[in-house]
Formats: sequence, C-alpha cells, structure tokens
Amino acid sequence: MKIVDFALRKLNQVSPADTVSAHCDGPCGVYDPASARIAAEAVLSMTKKLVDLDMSTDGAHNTYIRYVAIKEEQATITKNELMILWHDYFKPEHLEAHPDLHNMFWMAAKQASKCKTSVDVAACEELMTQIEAIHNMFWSTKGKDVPFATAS
Amino acid sequence: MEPTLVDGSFILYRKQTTAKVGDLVVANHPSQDMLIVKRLSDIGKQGFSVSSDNPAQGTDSRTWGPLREIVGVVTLHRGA
Repeated sequence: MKIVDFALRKLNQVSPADTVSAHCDGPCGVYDPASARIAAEAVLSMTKKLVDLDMSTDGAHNTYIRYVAIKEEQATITKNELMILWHDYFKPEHLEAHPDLHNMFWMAAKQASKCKTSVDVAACEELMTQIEAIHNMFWSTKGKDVPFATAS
Repeated sequence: MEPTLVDGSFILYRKQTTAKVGDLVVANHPSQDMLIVKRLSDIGKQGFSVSSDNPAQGTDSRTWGPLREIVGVVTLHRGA
C-alpha cells in the first residue's frame, strides 16, 4: 500500500484535498445542567443565610460581606454555565422540539442576574425552578429520564 | 476518530446521500461551516445518527442529535 500512500501524497500536492474534521468541537463533549444547578443552589443558600444573619453579633459585618461575595460569584458562575449549555450543547434541531428554548435560557440568565443584585429568596427559588425546566429539556434531548435532585 | 483516523489521514469518499450503519460518512457540521467525518451508527426517522470511534474525545450525535443528511461515504482512508 506504500504506492497508494505515495500516490495520495503526490495527488494532494497537485490538487490539495479539502479538510474534513473528525473532532469539530470542544474535545470533551460533556454537558450537564447540574453545573448550573449547583451554582444556583449556592446562590439560594447564601441568600437564605443573608436573610437569617443576626447583624448584632460580633463579626456580623464581615460574615455578611463574605456571604454577598460568594453569592455574587456563584450567580456569575450560574450564568456562565447556562450560557455554555445554551450555545455549546443545544443545536438548531433541538429548537424544533423545544421552541421555547431560547426564551428559557434568556429568562434564567436574567433571573440569575436578579438573584445577584438582590437578597431575595423567592427570586432564587424561581431560578431553581427555571433550571429544573432546563434540566428536563436537556435530558429529554438525550432520551433519558433523569430526576431533578438538589444537594440541600 | 482514532484509531481509525488520525490527524492528517487522507480519505477518499464517494458523494452519495445514502449509507449503511457502520460506514464512515462525511457530512456537514450541524452548526458550523465545515465537513466532518464520523461513523454512521443509526438511521432513523429524524435522520442519520453518527458516533465517534473515540467516544471519550469526539463530539457526535450524542450532542447534535441526528444529522439531516450525509454528503458521502468513505471508500478509502490512509494514515498520515
């Protein structure tokens, strides 16, 4: 077969072949809405702690700031994880089966922003509900029935 | 697509829109302007499901869902 290899190489020099990709995307292909869910749960947890914090105790201001910092960080992570799912995993053919797909991600991202800028338990619970809907949509595209579970 | 294809492999393919499960097929990427080569794993009502010979590394119908059409079938491939 060396003659074939030689001929192919020569042919490619004279008339270069088109490139065909076998990889074509990020190499891992591992996606799971759990990443967004975990971050959103942290936002919910920090928000509850902020509401419950007794500001009259020693060091309360330091603790309050720490909770806010973590909430800010985790809300940003939530948004980022949602974005990755939205534009890396979901494809146009998924839109046919889930026409509300774009709106679901847009509203969830906006809700994460609301949780970031406020101390609102109800807003965080609404974010969790939106992520659960995305979880269900995601796993339906894979033909799997994966129950939505939370860590807390 | 390792070990079947490695970076720089030459492939020859015949342009056709039908294939059988197990064939190496060339298709258009579902969302990018590029040709891809994958293994045809299933033909269903929704289209052509393709898989990677190296599933831990490849992206395929697990992510994209079935492809609507294929461009051709690989008839010969040679390593780099």
